[in-house]
Amino acid sequence: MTKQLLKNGDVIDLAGQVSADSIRVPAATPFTEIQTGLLTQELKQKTVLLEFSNFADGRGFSLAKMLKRDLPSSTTLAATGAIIPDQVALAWQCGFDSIIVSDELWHRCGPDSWMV
Amino acid sequence: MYQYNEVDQITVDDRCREFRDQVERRIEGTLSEAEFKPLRLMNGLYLQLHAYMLRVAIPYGVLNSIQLNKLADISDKYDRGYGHFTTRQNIQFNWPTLEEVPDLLEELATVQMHAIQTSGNCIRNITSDPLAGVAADEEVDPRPICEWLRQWSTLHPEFRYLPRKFKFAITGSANDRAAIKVHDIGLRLRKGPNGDPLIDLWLGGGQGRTPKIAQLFKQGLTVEQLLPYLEATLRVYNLHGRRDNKYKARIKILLAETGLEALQAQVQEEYEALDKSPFVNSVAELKALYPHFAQPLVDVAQASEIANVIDEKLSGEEVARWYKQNTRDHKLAGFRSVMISLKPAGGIPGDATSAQMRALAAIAKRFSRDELRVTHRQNLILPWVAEKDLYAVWLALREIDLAESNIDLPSDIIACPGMDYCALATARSIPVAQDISKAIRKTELQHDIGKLAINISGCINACAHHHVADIGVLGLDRAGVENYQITLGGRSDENARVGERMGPGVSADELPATIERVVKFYIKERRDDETFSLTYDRIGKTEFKTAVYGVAE
Ligand code: SF4
Repeated sequence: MTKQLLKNGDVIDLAGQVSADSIRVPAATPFTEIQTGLLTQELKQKTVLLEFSNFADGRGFSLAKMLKRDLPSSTTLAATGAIIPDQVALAWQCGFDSIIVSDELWHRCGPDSWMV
Repeated sequence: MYQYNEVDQITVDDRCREFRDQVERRIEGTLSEAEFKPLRLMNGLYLQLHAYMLRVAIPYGVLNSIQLNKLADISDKYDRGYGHFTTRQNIQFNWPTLEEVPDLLEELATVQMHAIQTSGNCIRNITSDPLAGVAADEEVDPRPICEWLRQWSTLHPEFRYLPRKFKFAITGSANDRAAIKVHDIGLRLRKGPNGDPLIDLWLGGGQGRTPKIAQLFKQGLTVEQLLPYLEATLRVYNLHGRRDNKYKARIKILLAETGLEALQAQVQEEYEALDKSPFVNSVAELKALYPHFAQPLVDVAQASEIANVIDEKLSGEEVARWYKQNTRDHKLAGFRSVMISLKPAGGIPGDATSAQMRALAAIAKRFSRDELRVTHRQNLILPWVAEKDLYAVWLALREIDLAESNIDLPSDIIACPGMDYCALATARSIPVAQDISKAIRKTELQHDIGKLAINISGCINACAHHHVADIGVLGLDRAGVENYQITLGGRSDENARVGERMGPGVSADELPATIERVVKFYIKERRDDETFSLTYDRIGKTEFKTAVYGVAE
């Protein structure tokens, strides 16, 4: 089961799909697409899932900052994909509302290590 | 000098605990090596040819005696009794084991030191003019801004996983001793209208495989604008920056590919949209740093009066030469900065023994307001020596073999660790530096030659800044044989430029004689005290090339 980690430390077990009105956005979205504002137009969804393809690629942190600024406050921003426990604190500081962690990653890194 | 406040200390202590935990998880196996690698690099820990190497930050090159004593202890305990000062005003220790590193970091934290962001794809240790705050020609003391940016960039949540490393250098003097134009961002501080500095931002300089001189990106930023503007610049870079090819990931390549105006426009747009509210207190925080760097009150009359008496002692031939070559004019009357050469005959450039470090700590405490500096030429400085104490300082330095009068002379060679330590090296650099130094000393012309920079890198990464030396040497591997390529006419000062590559490289055996020929040719051709680069410009590459290969005498 996938886990959803919330800022207040709560962990929710997610069964299957996160939320029907969510949209996935790659953290590696080209700058030109971000810049034209097209992205923010498209993203007036309830939940935006920012997908990290590689934990060493930090584009998602900057993108989160911009999206948090440009999106309506009703939109929530979740990080997903290749995130490691050592990035949890950074994710909160950059504006993510939650982090979705796969079962595999959750257990391999050790459940305790996700609690910052 | 800056003293940590509670927040700084908590940050560093937390970071020690965090790294101890990361090391434990790596040893247990819950962290993979791929996941651990960027984490250890962000803590300055490299895996080298033979063992780990830890790079410790010396922010803008400033050290006190307690810190230097601690570094001496660490070099005894974890290295083999040496510390290695680098071109980024840092110190490196070879040979610590992974299990020991958390202890080592804890020891550093007790003296307000750490290894955070000395490596990895993040904002690196900020470098500055080693004579910051003491140079006679200084317009603005860069240290408060350096410290301010150190605090801003340390553990910045958004910029910990950048496309590549990111280096800042800052100067407040027209004579650039911080090489700001070969950094990702170089800041030149000038006097502003109301006492606060104005800042020119140079962007996109760098060395390595594709050397570039920075371009003037933004002129006249105010202190209110600086942090949000930097944040916008780094954000645009982070979002753009290539992750597929590390040789194309630096901001210098982004600048070249995007074009100056287009990149300026993108940064400006982000700067305007950026939320400025997190920065409302930042200027007040900067101002709170000024008292840490206040000029000392000195009794000028007394200092110079005593200086007149002591001057006679400085007239001996050896000490007079040292005074001329190794001391510099000071902002304060009655004081000089004393440069300490870590390039003695036969030594390893930038190395100091633990015994020398302890003795230097004592000298600094007694004669230099408890302060030392590390220079990017791998030397040290006592920045606050009263003229009346110069003779005593010289004697004390001579005791520990650190009174060599060769600062800025040809034997003051920069050399990276090269094949002796570095996992990336393609050739040796330390032994060839020693050979070249020997050849040049033999001519005994050093003092007649005057200022001349010879820099030797052990691979294309150019850690020894060979592109911007008068004589640059790059060690390569040609089918298993070391081959040294020569670059001439580079500069790293305010007129920075990349040197020109001569023809095919030479062997390690031929190298000392090759360099000697170039130096002799320069001396023969120069007019009065013309610098190497000016002579090079006047005479041209073709003639110098002939000297390199020794075809015609
Ligand atoms: S220039 Fe190359 S060999 Fe020398 S220290 Fe840098 S990476 Fe290592």
